[in-house]
Amino acid sequence: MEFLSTEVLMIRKKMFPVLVAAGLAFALGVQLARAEGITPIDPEAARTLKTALDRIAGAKSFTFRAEISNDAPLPSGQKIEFSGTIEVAVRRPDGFWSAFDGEQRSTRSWFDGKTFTLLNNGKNVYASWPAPGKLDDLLDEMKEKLGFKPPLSPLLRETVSTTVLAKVTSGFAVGRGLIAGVPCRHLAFRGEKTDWQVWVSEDQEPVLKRLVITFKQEPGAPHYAATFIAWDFKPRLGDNVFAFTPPQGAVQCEFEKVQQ
Amino acid sequence: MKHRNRQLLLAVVCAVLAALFFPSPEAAIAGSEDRTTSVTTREKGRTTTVVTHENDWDTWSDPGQDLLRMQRETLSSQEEQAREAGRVRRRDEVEKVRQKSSAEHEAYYDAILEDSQAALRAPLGVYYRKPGYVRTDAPASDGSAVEVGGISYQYDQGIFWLQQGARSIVVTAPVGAVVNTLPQGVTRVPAKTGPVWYFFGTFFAEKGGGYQVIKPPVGITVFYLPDGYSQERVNGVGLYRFGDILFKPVFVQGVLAYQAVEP
Repeated sequence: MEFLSTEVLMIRKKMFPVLVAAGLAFALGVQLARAEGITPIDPEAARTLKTALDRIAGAKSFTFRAEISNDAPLPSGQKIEFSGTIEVAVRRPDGFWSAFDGEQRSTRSWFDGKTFTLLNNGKNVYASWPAPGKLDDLLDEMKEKLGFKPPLSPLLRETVSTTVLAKVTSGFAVGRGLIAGVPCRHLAFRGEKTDWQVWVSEDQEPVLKRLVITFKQEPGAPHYAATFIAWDFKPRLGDNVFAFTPPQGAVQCEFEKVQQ
Repeated sequence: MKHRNRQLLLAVVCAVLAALFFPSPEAAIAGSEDRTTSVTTREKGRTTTVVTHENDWDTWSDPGQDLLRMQRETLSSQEEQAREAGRVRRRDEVEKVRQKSSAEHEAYYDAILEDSQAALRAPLGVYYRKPGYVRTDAPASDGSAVEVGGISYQYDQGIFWLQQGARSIVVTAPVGAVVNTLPQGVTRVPAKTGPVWYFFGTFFAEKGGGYQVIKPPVGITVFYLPDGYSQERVNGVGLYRFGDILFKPVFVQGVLAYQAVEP
C-alpha cells in the first residue's frame, strides 16, 4: 500500500509538467482561435449534414426538383430577386441532365459520359463540348475550361459528403425549423468566400430541404437559395434521359474557352 | 539535480507533443491551400479526420452570379436583363394561353402578344424605339441634329430619327455620327481598341468630347440583341443580323452572348 502510494506520487510528479504543458498548449490554441475569430465545427452540425449528404453520395442515381432564387444587387444598391425552378437527374458515374427555367434564362443540360451539351431553351441555341469521363471529372474540367459549372454542382459529386465540409471554418446547429411543413435541423457554416445555411429534414432518412448561400465578398452580399421540393433516390433513368438530340431549327454555337 | 533535469526534459518533450496533438483550429479545419484538405472533428475523445481534395462551395459560383458580376462592371445592364426576363415571361404566358385557346381566339391572343411586345420595347427607365418605328408628332425638343454623309438625323436618347415629310422614322444608327451624350441604360464593353458603349445594337466610342457611332470591333461580345434582329444562316452557321451588323451566338461562362463577326 505504501509502495503504491509512493508510485502514484512519483507518477503525479512526472505527469505534472506534462499536464501543465498540455494545458498551456490548449489554452494557447483556444486563444489563437478566438483571436482569429474561428469557432470549430460543432460535431453535431457536421454529423447531421454529413448524414444527408451521404445519402446523395451513396445513391447510384437520383433526381431532385428545387425552387431557386438569387439576388441581383443593382448599381443603385437596390436588390432584385430572380426566381426559377431546377430539375436534375444524375446516374453515376457519368449521366447528368438538368432543366432550369428562370426569369433570366431557360436552359437544358445533358452529359452522357462523352459530351456535355448546354441548350438555351428560349433562344434555341446550343453548344456541345467533348468531355469523356465521369461526372466528377466533367465538373472539374468545366470550371477550368469553360468558366462555369451547373447550378448546385457540389451536390452532384460522388464525394459530396466530404467536399462540402472542406475548408469550412466554423459551423453550428442554429435550431429547428419548418420547411414546407417538414421539421428540419437548421445548420449554419462559414467558409472563406461564402457563408451557407442548410435545413436537413428530421426524418429517418434525412434529406436536404433548403440551402442558402451568401456570397459575402460580393457587393451587396447576394444570396442564392434553393428549396428542395422533391428528392427521388430510386428513379428509373434510361440512356435517353442523358442523350441530346438537337431541337428542330436549333442553332449550334460554341463555348467561349477560359483564357489560361 | 539529475531528477529535475529529467523532469524538465520530459516537460519540453510533452509540450512539443501537446503542440502537435493540438494543432491550431485553423490548421485542423481549414487544411492547406491546395486541393487536398482535411476536416478534423473530435467527439467523446475520438478524433476523426476526413481528407478530401477540393472545396466546392467556396470555389463554386453560379453562372447567374458570374453574369451578374460581369453586369456590375457595366453601367446598367441588369436593367436590360430584367426587361429581357419580363419579355420572355410575358411571351411564355401568352404562348401558354394561346395553346389552350381554340382557333377562333387565336387572332385575339395574337393581338395581345403584339401589344405586349410593343409595350416592352420601351421598358421602364430606358427609352427605346426599334428601327422602322414611325411617329407623326414633333421631334423631342431636347434632341440634337446630327449630319452624316449629307443626311440630317435627329438624335434623341440613343435613337436616330429621319424626317420624312410630316413624320419621323427610326433608323439604325449611322456610322460616323458624333453625339454629345450617351443614352441611359448604355453598357460599357471592353474592347482591344478601348472602351466601347453598347445600346440596343448601336456601338459608341469616345471621340473628342463626344461619342461616335462605330462599326463594332470584330469579336466584341454583348449580352443582348435589340428587338428587330433577324436570324440567318451563312455557310450553315446560324447568325443574327441587326442592321449591317452580324452576330454569332456564343456561350460565355454558361450565359448566351452575341459576338460581332465580319459582315
